[in-house]
Amino acid sequence: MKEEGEREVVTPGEVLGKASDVRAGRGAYLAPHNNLVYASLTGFRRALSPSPDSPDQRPTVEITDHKAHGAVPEPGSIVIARVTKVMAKMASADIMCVGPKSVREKFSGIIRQQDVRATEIDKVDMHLSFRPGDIVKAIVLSLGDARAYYLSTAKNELGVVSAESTAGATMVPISWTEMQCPLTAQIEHRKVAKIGG
Amino acid sequence: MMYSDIGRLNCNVSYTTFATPVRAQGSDRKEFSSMLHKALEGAIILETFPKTTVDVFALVLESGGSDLPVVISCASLALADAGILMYDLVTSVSLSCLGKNLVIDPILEEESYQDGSLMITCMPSRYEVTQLTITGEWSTPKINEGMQLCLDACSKLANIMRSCLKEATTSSQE
Amino acid sequence: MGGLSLGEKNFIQGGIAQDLRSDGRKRLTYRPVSVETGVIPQANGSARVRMGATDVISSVKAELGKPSSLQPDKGKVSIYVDCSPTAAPMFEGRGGDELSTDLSVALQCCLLGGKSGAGAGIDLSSLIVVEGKMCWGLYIDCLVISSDGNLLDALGAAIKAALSNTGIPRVLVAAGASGDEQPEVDISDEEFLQFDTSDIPVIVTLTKVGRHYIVDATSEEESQMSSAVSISVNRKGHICGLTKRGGAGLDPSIILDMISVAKHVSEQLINKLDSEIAAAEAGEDDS
Repeated sequence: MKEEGEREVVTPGEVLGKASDVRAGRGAYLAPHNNLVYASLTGFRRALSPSPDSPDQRPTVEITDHKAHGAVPEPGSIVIARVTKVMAKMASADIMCVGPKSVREKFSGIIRQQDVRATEIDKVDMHLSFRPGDIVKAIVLSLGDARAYYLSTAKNELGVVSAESTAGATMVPISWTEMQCPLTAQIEHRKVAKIGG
Repeated sequence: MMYSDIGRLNCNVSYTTFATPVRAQGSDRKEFSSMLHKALEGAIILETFPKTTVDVFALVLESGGSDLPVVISCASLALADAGILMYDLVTSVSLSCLGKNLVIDPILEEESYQDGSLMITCMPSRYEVTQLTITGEWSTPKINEGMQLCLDACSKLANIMRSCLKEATTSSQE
Repeated sequence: MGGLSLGEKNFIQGGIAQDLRSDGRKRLTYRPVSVETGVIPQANGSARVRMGATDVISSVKAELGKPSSLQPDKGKVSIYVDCSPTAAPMFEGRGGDELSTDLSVALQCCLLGGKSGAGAGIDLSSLIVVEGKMCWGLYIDCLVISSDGNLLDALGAAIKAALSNTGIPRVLVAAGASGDEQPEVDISDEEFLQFDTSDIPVIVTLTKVGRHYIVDATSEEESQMSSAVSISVNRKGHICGLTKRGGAGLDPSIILDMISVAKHVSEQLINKLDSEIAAAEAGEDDS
């Protein structure tokens, strides 16, 4: 996909082209009644040429927003969250980053007991998996209920990425279930994420 | 609030206490809020933001006639500026019928003596009417004439709104 | 009506496309209308209108008041609608309030004409007692008892019937009332003035489902609508008001087409209503 540099500003409702010539990308939509592609955002128009091996050779038009918006989690995105509360059946967390971008508003998430790890999901003890203040990497399962997103750490590379011990030092992971305090050498239980390697 | 698959739109129109000739006369405009909601809901692509509410607040600083059409057009500009996905801009124009004459964009005095009124809200580039309100007695040819006048004005207004949006976009980039 | 299955939806839409609706009606046929007048003895006039399972009551109360300074030669009319929570589950709590305001605004727009009073179905100057000082204020209160779609048309018909049932006491103004004072009046208990209701428009709502539009939609059919246009038409065939519901946009030419269809339908509706109202009044006099 390469970009054809052209800085044309469009506003919602402007016709971008015929459906037979272009495909509607982000910020554009196709009106079925007259087969025209319209813009639905205010911003800069970009045309993306299709990859040479795809069967559809129409270029995709998309509109890039003129304003930077905070990131919004959606199902499937990897988020970084801070655990706020650990209960017997679930833990709640505040989402801080979606992918590489930090969020602007507050989004809360819930990690349910069955979503902590991939195996033996009925034997999970929430208190041996997370503590309030832990930074976890999780995937967004669904939009959840009205209050929170549902998050999951049921993958090797997901789980606690940074945690402080009771002594106040940042702990070092020693296995996928344990972390150790560098000051007191005390071992605490966590659902540890496998990072790198 | 309940979970919803599509976005919600919440509109509120209010007047300042000094907006009207008589103080605090028009402070409660529930019907304006619902009219604004009806005018905008068809234009916003609500499917694109589940479990989200878009709040639109309009405050009329000074009421000089044709308030609602101005509120609607202004709200659609604000939505476009906010980056809410929309099918089209929404423009609105009203006219008053005074005796045999049709006057477009009436002022307060004209509105208070009007024999009838016609307000159109439309999506100009799709050429669709999202709201239409007529009061007073009208014959069909007159409705025809009034609608055409308003629709022409709507498309002119849309051009102005578009150039205003574009100007704001380019200047914010520099 | 949220609980329709895909099959039911297709059935309703398909039926409308083939001009045969689920209750056997054609697209432009009303359900049987029944009118009962004088149902509320306390009111100056009242009527109950039923269209299928839609059931509304309208009552008219007249009170003496002061005309507004802007229009000293005109009386006042206000219309309020209340949706009983028993009519439909969605009317409970705030849902009913919103619908009530919407209906009140739509009725005012359809029946009360422009701000100068021109084109109003009710002749406001006939409500004046002493110019600038005393006039009748009509309070039209409507109650939705049961809702099965097409509330606006039913409410419009109920108001028309209630007004033709309304008698306003004759007022005798005592002579010699001086400049600024409120005139002394004598309200007659026996003599009543009847309204001329022949100019009151009827409301025809055209509900667009798919590519076609229908009149007198049931609530099942309304759940499938993309938009609805309510047009009030008087006997002369003039449009007295128009409002639109539903978010979907309409092509201007479709609206003009709807207006001409509404005009056509309104003739039949006015005749039907007039004969029903006359029959109801006759029945009331007999009993």
